[in-house]
Amino acid sequence: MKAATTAGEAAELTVSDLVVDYPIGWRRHRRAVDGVSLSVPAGRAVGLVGESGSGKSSLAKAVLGMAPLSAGRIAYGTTVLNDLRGAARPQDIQVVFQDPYSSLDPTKTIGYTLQEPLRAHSARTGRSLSRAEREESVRAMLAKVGLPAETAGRYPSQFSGGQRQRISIARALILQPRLLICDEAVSALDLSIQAQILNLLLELQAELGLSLLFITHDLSVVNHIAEDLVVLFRGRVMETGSAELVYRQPQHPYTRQLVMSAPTQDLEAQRARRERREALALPPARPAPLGEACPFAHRCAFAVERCRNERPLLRDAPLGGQVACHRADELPPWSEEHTQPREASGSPA
Amino acid sequence: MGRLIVHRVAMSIPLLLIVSLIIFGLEAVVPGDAASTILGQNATPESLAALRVQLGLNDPWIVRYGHWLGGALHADLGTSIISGVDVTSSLNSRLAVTLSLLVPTMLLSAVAGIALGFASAVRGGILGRFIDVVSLFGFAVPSFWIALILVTFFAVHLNLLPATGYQDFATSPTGWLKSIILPVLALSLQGITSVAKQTRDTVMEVLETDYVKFLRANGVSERSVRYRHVLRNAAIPVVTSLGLVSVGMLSGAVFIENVFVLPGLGSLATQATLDHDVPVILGVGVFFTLCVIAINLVIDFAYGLLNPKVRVS
Repeated sequence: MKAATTAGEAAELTVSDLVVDYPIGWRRHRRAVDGVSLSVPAGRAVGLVGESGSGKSSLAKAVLGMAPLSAGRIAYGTTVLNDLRGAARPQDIQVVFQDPYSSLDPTKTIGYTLQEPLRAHSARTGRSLSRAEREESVRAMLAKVGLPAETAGRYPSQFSGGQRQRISIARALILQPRLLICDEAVSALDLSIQAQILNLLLELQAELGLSLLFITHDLSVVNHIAEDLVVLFRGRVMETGSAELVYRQPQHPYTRQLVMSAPTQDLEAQRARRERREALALPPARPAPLGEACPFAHRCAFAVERCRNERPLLRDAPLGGQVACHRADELPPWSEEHTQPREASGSPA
Repeated sequence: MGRLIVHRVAMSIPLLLIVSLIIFGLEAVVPGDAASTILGQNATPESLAALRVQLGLNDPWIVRYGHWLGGALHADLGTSIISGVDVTSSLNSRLAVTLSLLVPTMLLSAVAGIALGFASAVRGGILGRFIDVVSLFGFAVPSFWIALILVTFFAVHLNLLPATGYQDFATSPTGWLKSIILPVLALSLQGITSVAKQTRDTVMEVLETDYVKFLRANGVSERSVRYRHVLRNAAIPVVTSLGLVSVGMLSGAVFIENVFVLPGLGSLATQATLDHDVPVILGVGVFFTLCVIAINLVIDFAYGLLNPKVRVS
């Protein structure tokens, strides 16, 4: 494919101590991201996992310049992104959104939608592309995501969710970015289509040397695609490490709960998981206000007084990676068979 | 498109039949008839009976309706019972007045409503809340009340514009303009506010979509985002509401023409109803029904142009 734009050098995305607050009414705020640090090294695939409300999409929005930053620093290579908006932002970072229906303008042809970033880029750099060049780029990109060239002349309503997500990926890649943020990019799709899109992303990552920040609530999905994992809960990082380690040997009680809550294909194992999860479950409790407490304390079977009074900081975990848990060293070793709290751990209040 | 038009015209035939039947039925149920209107209060029962026979009012209603329908099928809407004037020609002579009221009102509602709604959605803040409150007011307050307030203020207190009456455009363009300003304002308020509210809500919805987020994140100019994408997508429901508003204006025009004593179709219909002048009532009813059909056809056409989903299927 002819290079339509000059691709920038791949660089590392670093997010340091990021805080995002959303205004809710007069002088009130809700803290969506509370001091998160993470990095996406060039060419690496990092998964960001958490349940809804954990702040994972807010973090993506912050990186894309769409969320209000209260504190912290977001940098891509040496460029600080904090206050960059619109045309000033480096086009090396692109995004694929969750909803395949709201992410394409229904009144524009696919060709128009795909050409638009090219036109905006031309206007920005003063390097204009001819119509034929733009059309060639669109054709090449459609082929890359597995869609026929006729796609360009059609409207979004003529495509299925999975096809639309392919189009969204093509649109994100047409400026040859170095970092692709996938914000729940497969969550709205059927399982079989999810697998196709994930494989497409993996192929493209390998072919183009992309960095990926893959955001999802689904551990099994992220395990398929990410090399590193960051587990987020109520706006804070609970655990980080290589995907293999975090998935096979979760060291934070929250991550363990998350792993156990993912469905498996084996019915027997599924039932065993459910029983163990229920054995560990606490009666529903009101989440303590964030602040000087572990955000997971109210749901944690291992919580002690200290967990409710002192915020656990990320520190090196016994088996590698990092974990934000006061009791990380005292937890029973993880295995699917043995997840009961130890007798000595004290009964939770 | 051709098929759509043919289909709509075919559908309009039963609609016209039903509307004329309802008008005819209502008139038959209402106490009083044209004979008592012509002879006045002091008429003797004998003279009333004689006139009823002469006017054919004693015939069964189905016969009278059949008679009217037979004429209407030959484009002959009959003559007024009271004045003897041909209904078609009196419709023609009053059409200009009603169009002078309706066309500027529709244009003003569309332009001002879309502009206000769009600006308030994009800018937000005070203007947005103002539109929300005023549109509620616009829905709730009847146009004839607004008309009276406008007359009191602009015509009586300030003496800027005539309170009533109509001047022909051909005789005096400025007189024409002055005579329609207040009626158009009074009739537009509801249209402007409801179009503004619809535009505001739809534009805010479109501004939240992921494609708008994507365009902004990619540095596509704000102008292009607003006009090529947001306004274009918001236009679809706005056009629908414009159609509803325009249809509502036809009945609004009947009130407004009476308040401002404009010699249009609305005041013709009102007078004919008071006089039990059935052929005139039916004539205006059929004409307004045709207007509604035409407005809907235009809206469907616009919808087809705006919405690729409709175009494809």
